[in-house]
Amino acid sequence: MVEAVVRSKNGLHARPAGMVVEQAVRHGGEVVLIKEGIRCNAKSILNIMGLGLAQGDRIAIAAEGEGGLRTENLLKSIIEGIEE
Amino acid sequence: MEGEVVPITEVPDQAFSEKMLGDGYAVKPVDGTVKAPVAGRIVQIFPTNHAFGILAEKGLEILVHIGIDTVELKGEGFRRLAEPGQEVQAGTPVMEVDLEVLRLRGKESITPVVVTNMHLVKGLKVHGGPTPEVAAEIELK
Repeated sequence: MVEAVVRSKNGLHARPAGMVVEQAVRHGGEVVLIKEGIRCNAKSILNIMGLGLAQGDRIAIAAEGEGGLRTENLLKSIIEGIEE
Repeated sequence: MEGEVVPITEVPDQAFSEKMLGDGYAVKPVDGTVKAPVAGRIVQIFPTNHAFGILAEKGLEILVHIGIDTVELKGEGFRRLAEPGQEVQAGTPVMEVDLEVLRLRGKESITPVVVTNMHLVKGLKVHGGPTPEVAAEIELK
């Protein structure tokens, strides 16, 4: 599990959520984003949008199974790289 | 919402036109009452009210994104007519958008409607034109 901070000024809205999902679906195992104990499926755009992530929010990223840490770090760099 | 149905590829936002978020169609609205495109449960309304998601029959997830870059309006011009968790029918009003506010703020009002979990879909046929009775037919796998 790795931690990430949302930097995009408009939060994790549709387009950023799409970028996260695009990467998450390449991972074989389960991928979840966790905000304050609320878990969401990182392979679902609606689930991610449902977290209502805003700029400055801290989340945890957990990817199960083979290559999990690699996926977690990729998602962290995507989430922290979106500034729009 | 009432308006002309056009191919998703005509949306001036690559996230939609390149189908990054899913496949579907877009509406060029002529009025501001945004209705559920399909029966199901509203699973999410984005805090800024510019987009909402519906979980439809067979697990299909439908995203309605009202206008382009409208997240930047931070809710201005949008008013909820329904709440997350609510069951809706096709045609149930979900959001009221003031198209004049979008125009004044320089935001396009074209509204993409996409299936975000396309892995469940075998075929999708869009019926374009001014306010068609059925905008799209979806064949499931």
